[in-house]
Amino acid sequence: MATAGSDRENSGSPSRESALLDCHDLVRSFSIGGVDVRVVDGVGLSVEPGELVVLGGPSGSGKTTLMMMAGGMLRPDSGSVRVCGEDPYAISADRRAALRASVIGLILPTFELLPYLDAADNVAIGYRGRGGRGVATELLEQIGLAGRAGQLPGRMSAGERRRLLVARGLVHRPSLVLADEPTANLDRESAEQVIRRLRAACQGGAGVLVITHEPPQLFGADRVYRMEAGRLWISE
Amino acid sequence: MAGVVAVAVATVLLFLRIADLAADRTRIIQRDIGLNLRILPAEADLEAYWMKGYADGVIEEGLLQTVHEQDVANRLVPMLQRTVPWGEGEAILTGIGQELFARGEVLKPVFGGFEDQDDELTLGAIAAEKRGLVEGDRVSLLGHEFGIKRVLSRTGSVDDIRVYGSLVAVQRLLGMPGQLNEIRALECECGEEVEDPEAWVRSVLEPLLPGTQIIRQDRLADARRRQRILAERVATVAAPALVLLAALAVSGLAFINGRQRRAEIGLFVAVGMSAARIGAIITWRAAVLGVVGGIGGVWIGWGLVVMIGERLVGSGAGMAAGAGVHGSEILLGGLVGGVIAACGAWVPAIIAARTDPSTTLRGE
Repeated sequence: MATAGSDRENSGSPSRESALLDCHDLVRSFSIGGVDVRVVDGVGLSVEPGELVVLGGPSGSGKTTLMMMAGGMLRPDSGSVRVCGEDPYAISADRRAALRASVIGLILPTFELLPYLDAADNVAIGYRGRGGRGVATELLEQIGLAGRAGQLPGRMSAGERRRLLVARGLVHRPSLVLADEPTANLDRESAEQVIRRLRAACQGGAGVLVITHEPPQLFGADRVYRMEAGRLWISE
Repeated sequence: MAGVVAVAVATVLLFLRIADLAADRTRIIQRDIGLNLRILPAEADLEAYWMKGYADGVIEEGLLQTVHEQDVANRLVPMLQRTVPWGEGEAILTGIGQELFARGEVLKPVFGGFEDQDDELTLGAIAAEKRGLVEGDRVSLLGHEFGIKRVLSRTGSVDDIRVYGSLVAVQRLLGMPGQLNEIRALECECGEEVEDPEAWVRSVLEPLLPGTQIIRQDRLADARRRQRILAERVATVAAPALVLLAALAVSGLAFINGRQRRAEIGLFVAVGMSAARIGAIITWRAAVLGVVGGIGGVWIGWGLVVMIGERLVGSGAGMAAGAGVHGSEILLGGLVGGVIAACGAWVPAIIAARTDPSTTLRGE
């Protein structure tokens, strides 16, 4: 990190065929109050199969924007993204959606849940194929929400809703999991359940990128990045 | 959403039904103020006609068909009227035949309900009151037994002392088969461009109707005719405009609703749904709400017609509303509500589905 001599800036690492996520020199600006602000400024990172990568840094440093670009959710101004060897921004919107549906598991930072669907159905919308509700119910049990499958999100606590978001991101067994603050609002026991699920995904061969304000060692991170003012630093 | 569709459909239905009822009422008003033309026997004394309320003399019933073939009036009503002794007093026995309509059309009759009264009579208010008669009573008239089918409310005219029956029954009672004393020609079809409809109709009919005279009660009928034409013109503009406004309101609301659901759509995109599938989900849901609202609106509109139609239009509205909701209205209300809501929702849904989900989720 800029202030720590043990860190170095990372704008891209050598491309590897095996990388599930491979980003190079990503740049993204937003117009804020009529002024263009470069929120992500020449950033690169990669995530390998079976690897859990933690991305830390202060609020507003560009972590979520970077993750959105990595997940095919936000087109970068420049730079390249490859997910499982495919550039999500070089294909049509529908194919990009299909790519997300098949290989990316998104765990969003805000409570983006459908208020008219119960917990199991909210999870199951991330699943493609038959029997989604059954798979969702099983996953809910694994993250401590047994018996809550029929509950509407509006009647659940913030911690329970957070775990719903985690379950939805994992329900289709994605190759690449992008989790933005998956343990926010959770007590220690619930947070550990979520981390266990993320680690289990890694053990199953998935690559996981986690944005968090928690200590990286809590997640058993294989690599740790830190963002500050739109630039990425890798902790050595 | 469904609520707004219901209100829009109810408003349209209310307007259309009220307009329809108003048109019916206008026809009845025209009849009551003397209508357009009366074809009377040539020998009838008009002074006596206005004093007694009917014409002396007769015309052959066969002339009715001659007039009908000319298609000069939308409605023809054959009548036979005579003063007859009844108990200690007298009554005007009035036989009314089935209305004939121009060009084979089937219209709502303005003198309906008498043609099938072979064994029944309808009484004017004073004729009934004077004899203490009510509906369902049995009476004897000219040696024949009749049931009282209906007692009319007061009109303040000679009609209050009439006794109505079917033309056939009255011809039989009076021993005057095949004879009339009046043909009423209502709503003459002379077109707006004809400056003097009476002269025009006379020029058509007089050569064909020997032994008759044609009178027109007064100029008020003509004013009413022009007023009706004007009202119909306004209605032909106002009705589509109202329908268009309602459609715009519903589709606009569906559009706004679609935009408000951008975060939801963004979520669908984020979990990997295609734009087409998202469009189908949002549109389908809007369509279902539109159908529910449309059908609900038909019922609400009908309820409003029942509640305020009579007050707005006068007697007769309640009867028309009592005919109930038509199946075609339910079908059309549901179909139109669904299609308009779906069309309105589809555009913002597709736009949102094709936008970067990160942007959509932020609600931008």
